[in-house]
Amino acid sequence: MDIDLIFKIAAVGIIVAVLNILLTRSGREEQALMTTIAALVVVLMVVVQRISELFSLIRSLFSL
Amino acid sequence: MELALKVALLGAIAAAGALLIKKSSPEIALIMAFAVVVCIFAAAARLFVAVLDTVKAAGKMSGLSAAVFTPLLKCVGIRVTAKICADICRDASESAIASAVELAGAFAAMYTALPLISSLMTMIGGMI
Repeated sequence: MDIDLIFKIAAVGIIVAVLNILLTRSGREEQALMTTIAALVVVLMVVVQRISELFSLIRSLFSL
Repeated sequence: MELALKVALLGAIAAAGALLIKKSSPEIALIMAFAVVVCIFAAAARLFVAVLDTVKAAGKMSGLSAAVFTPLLKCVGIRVTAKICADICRDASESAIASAVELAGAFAAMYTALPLISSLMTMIGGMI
């Protein structure tokens, strides 16, 4: 089990939350939104590989 | 036993973490839940392989052909995939997509079981 991956995602989430609050408080809502979207894309890029691994695992396991 | 304990702990910790993140960025919490699902399933699959081998050996001993046994396995696989994806969709409070995924899974399972049903029908036809 790669628990590191989960903690990485959690860390990204917390950092983005802090950045979001900071940017919103300093009146840069657009940049806050851009940060959130960028973080989402980064995390998604990591997880999508794992998801494809999961589906190929299920495929080989149940001989689909 | 060891795996069950590990998975239970991982699930509890990840749930707490997701709850923490959910307030500020719910989308990353959802992706985190997906990552947890992938990790847990990958860990559980290793044990399932042994179960599968035993079931296959039992099927061979009973004299059933692979044509009867394979659709059953495929149905289980389709069900598992559809269930995981539907639950993720439901977590994102998109129950319409979740229902569609489950429905598609049910149709796919029925389609996979078609050879079994047709062989049953020919068997009944032969008896009559």
